[in-house]
Amino acid sequence: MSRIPWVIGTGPAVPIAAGLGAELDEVPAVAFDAEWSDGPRIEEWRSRVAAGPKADQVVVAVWPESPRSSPVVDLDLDGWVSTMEEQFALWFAALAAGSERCADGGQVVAVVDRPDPMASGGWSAVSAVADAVEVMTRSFAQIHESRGVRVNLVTTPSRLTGSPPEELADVVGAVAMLLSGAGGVTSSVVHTGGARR
Amino acid sequence: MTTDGDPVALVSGASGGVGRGIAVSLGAAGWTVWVAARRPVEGQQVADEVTEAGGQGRFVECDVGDADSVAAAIAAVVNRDGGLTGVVHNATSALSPLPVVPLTVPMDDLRNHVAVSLRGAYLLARSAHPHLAASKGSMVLLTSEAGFEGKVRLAPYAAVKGAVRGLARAWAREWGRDGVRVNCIAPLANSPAMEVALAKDSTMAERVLGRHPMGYLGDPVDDIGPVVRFLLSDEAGYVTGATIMVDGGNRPIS
Repeated sequence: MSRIPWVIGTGPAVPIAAGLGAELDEVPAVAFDAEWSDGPRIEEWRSRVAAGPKADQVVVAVWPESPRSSPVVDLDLDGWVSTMEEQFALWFAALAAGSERCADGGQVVAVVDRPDPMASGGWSAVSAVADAVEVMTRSFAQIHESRGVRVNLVTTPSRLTGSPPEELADVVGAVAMLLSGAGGVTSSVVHTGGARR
Repeated sequence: MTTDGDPVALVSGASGGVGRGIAVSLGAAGWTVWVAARRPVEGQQVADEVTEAGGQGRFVECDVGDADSVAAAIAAVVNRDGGLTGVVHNATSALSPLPVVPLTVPMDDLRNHVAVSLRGAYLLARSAHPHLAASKGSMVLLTSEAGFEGKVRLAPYAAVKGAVRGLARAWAREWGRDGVRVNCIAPLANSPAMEVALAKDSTMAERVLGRHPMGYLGDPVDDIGPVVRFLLSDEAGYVTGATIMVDGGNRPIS
């Protein structure tokens, strides 16, 4: 089994890939409008990527550039679409393609921004994406269970709290732990960034 | 409250199924209920049921994924009844019960799920917030067991239902100081959507009911509606940011 995972995600996830000794395979840069006009580009990317060679270890990290908090009453429709709907679509496509590319008996780990629930005010779009990704990982864990593929999730508040980059080491460590396949863990969530949940 | 002092709620997607049950249950407690839906004939029928149950039923045509339509619906409520006490976002995509393969699901279909469940919640929240703040009212969002456990055949539906919980948790924190509460329920009910899902998947009935502690699906009027009524009422005045499982104990987590 290879020791270098295949990492797919957005530019801000480069440090995760680097921490795992991998290069980032970037999802397409899109700019959604309310009609999701960029949807066909994602479909084309999803099909192309899913047809590539199998990987024993897959990491998916669709991270938006510079996430910012905004109370929902101050979030206009364009902001909602870019911070919630666009991220939802990219995550769904990337996890679908990444899980498909995972070899039988392999590991998939998603890494998502998630605010501490007690500090989630102002982060409703980000919280919604995180909760959606958690459920996506559970769906894909069930879909690919018969192939022995395990799908898990690591969450981190570090980019939302402006934590120092060193904290990403904890995230990388959690990803590496799950990629090891130890214990047969699947459909589970590992929270990083503190004990309060 | 209306200008007459009665509480006023808007229920999205209430032209049938669980939404109808919530509307009728609120009507039985004397609420003025606005049935917000795209289907005027069916919506008006439910509004009439609300009135027959003891409330005041009204219909307003509304596409929850459209900002202008949502704003107009909320304006219609406030202009007619003088305020808004509760909003229930029940509408889900018509695609919800249809099995999909995630790798090939068209983005247009995914957008439909998101537009109804999530953009609809967002648009309703934005338009309703000032009125709910004025009435110290409440919002209830409908999630699902699927929004906890995921689904093999209904992955888009499960994902949007998971996202709904994240919205409620955050909005409860944003709006608590305004006196506005936000909660979720996760119902398991007999509804047209459930009937479609059962018809599309021959093993689903055994999976769902074979492990069910009570052995039956909830009734939208008698089992689901009263829990929403509680969450919208002053009796739930210290409940916010919660998800109440209304599923007969099928998946007792929150």
